[in-house]
Amino acid sequence: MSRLFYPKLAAVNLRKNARTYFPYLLTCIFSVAAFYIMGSIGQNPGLSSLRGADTVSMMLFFGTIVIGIFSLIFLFYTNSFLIKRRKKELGLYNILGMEKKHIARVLTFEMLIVAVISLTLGLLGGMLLSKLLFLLLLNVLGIQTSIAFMVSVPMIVTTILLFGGIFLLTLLSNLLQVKLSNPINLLKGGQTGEKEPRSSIILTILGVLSMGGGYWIALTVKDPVTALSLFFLAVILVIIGTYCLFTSGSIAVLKLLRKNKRFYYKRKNFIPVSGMIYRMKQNAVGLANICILSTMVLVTVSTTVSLFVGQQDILDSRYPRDYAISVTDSEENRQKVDELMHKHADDAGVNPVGVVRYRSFKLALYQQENSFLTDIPSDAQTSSALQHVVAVTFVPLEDYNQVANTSLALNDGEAMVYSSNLDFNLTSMTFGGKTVQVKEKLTAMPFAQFTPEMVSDNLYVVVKDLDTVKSIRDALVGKPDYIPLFTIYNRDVAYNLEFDLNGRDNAIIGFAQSLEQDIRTTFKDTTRNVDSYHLKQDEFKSLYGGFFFLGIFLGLLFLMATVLIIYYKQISEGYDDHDRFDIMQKVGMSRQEVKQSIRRQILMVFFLLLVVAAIHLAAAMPVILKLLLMFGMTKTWLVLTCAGVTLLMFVVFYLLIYSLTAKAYYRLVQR
Amino acid sequence: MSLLEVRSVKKVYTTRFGGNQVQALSNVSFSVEEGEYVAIMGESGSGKTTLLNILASLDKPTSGEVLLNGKNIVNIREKDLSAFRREHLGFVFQDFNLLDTFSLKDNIFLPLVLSGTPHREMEQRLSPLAKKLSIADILEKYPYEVSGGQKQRVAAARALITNPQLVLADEPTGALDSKASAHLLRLFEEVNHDGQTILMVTHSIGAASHAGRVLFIKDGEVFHQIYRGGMSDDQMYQSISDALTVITTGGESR
Repeated sequence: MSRLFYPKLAAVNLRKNARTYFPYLLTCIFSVAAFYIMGSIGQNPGLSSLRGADTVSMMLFFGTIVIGIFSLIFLFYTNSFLIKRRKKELGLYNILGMEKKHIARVLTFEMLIVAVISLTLGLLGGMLLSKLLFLLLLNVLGIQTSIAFMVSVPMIVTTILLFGGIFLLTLLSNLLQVKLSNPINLLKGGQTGEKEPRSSIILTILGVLSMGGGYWIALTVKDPVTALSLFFLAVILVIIGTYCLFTSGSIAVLKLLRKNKRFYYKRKNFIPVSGMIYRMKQNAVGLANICILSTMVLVTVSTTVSLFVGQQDILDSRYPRDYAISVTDSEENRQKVDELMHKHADDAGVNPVGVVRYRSFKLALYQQENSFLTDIPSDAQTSSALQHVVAVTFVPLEDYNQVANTSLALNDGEAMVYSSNLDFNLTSMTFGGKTVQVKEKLTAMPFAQFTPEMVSDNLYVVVKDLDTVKSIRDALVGKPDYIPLFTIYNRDVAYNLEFDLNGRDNAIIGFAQSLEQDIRTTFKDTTRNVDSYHLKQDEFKSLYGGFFFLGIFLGLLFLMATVLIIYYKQISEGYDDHDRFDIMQKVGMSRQEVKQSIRRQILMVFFLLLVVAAIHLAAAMPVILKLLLMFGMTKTWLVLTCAGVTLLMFVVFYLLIYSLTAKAYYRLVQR
Repeated sequence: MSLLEVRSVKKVYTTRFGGNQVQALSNVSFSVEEGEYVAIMGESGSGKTTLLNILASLDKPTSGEVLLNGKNIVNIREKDLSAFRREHLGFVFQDFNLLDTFSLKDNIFLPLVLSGTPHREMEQRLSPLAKKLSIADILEKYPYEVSGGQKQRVAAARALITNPQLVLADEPTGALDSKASAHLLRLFEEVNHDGQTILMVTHSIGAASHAGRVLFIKDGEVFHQIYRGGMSDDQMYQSISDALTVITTGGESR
């Protein structure tokens, strides 16, 4: 026997099974390329020289890990489908006289061929595309630089190791299956498990409960902080619910339909109902996979797209003025800050306009009805404690009048209040024992609102004069054991300087950076805070651009997986339905009727998925909106539009994939 | 008038690209009277299955007529064909052709459901039939849970439940052991005795010896036929066996 016998046989086998192996090979190549691209962009030295590079490379690193894990699970899953289809062929070899070790040798060579092809093509494709995608990423981040083509050797090694490992693992599982089965089992491999599915009441109830629980969390969540902590739980619950309901719930419903004799023994229901019971059993897990993957695509893409599209709005709402400085208030500091501003402005050739100066005292407080505390009470629930934390800013009336250009008056113990929470309706408030009466609710504040990301509400309290502000400060934080809820604020009354900037973009950036640097060194012994719209803009671009890039990339990967599972489902159904199609015609159904009935069943199955995925997305919307609120995304309609457009595009794509794969299916059925 | 009349049926298969022509049936004529039990015998390749497919309206002859109750089934339009098959013919196949997706009962009901029969009537028709075929206690099971003999009896029930004018059986005992075969053939005889016309294609002499008449097909023509007359099953067996010997050794007698 020629030494090349086994490799040749392996090659012939792959070619003969091209219908199922070609998509598998494509998936392998694509996964390898995706993994390499994501990893090599993260390691590109060109990236580290950019502003906000840390955020982006963290995200890319995270993305690389996600792709790695996903590839492992997905390639393993696809392989199990392939080997199941081929059991008959392997059994035949066994019966024709090949020993199991020979079959093992053939399988090994097959896997070797697959591994070599997919690693070679995947890495080559990855190297070619990584440059393109890197440029795309830079474009998304709004950075224009020329970066040379580079090949990341460590990433090539990592990729080969990871995917080599995955292929080895798959091969071992295949060999184990061959070893454990006898030829008869192998011959019948394609037909095992034809028994009617059992629906378990417990699983169905569990499915309903966890799906309901997940939805309930998603729909009732009140604020971003809780949303963040419960989102993960809700996702897990919905995934469990989806699996249970697809596998057990669907069959329970169908069996209930079958019990109803009047309904069941009707021409138009008889074949679909029984066919669906059978179909759901064989495909429930695969269908649940498709459904969850589709939901993931929808959620990831619509979230990241809306952040990316809305980043300008977020920036504008969070940083109403171009530049804001806040230092501990003193005559000396005031002068110094003003000097620094003018000096750097002259140096850079920019022009500060609309300058606003005011003093304030700002800190985070825990609100309990109308009293505001510096500590979270020990009996408060930790999970919901943060929703009660409010950022409170005290401003003397004098400064308010000057900035707002008003001449309002206040008496002792009176205050004017502005709250970002529209439901605010307190008439009096107590701060560390000092009570103020709310004289007036203001509808706007002339000051920039810098709010830490975790806190949702902003409260401004305008009091009679600076002395009142100071006395409230002393009452709140004067105690020696005071520990602030958030450390980013001044412990003392602060002097704030806010202004817009006129000038060329480069000059403004230069000014912003040098001033920030200078203020940090000049006031290094006191608390100081600098916020620049233009510097934040870059940070935002790298953060949201990074999210966007990652979202689209992962979205595409999940989409590819969805497509492949749909294709394999269609193929396996095609093989199974071929015989039934034949029998039904012999028993007295016309070709047309059989075709129609099968088409109806398949449409039902595949569009059930789409509908469920859309419902999942809809249910997730409240949580997504809350989470995006934390990023400062307040435009609900924008998020909804992004989600809607994403869904629409997904539906179009899904229809396209469906109709293409359906063709393969009909070809199999009618062969 | 005969129930079934086959007049000079000819069937020529042309390979897809026009090249070779294969003549499966050259000139077949015979008739079947109501209540008859006819077996058609022949070697592999003699055209038996082609003939059965034409009788079953699954295939159309190149020329010739097939009259069922005086109606030419060759001219039935494509879209009426399946309804015609469902209402006038019953089928029993060698490999049972039961659907795994249905319970045995639902398999039997399938043609009735397709014809829109009310559920109550289905049950009424089934219960005497199930008793006769001794499948009453397995009706709720699924095809993969029962033996071949039971499957074939269920298939027979599916063929009979529509009260067809003609039951067509294609090697019904082909996949059964001798005991199950004997049981099934006995049932066929009983059913025939109650007035059901049966036409069976087989190459088992044992199966054919139960029939009232045996037609022999060779090279696409009806070559010979034997009437039971007063013969017992054993005598019938002997004369079929003799006839086959003559046919295979190439005798030209008619």
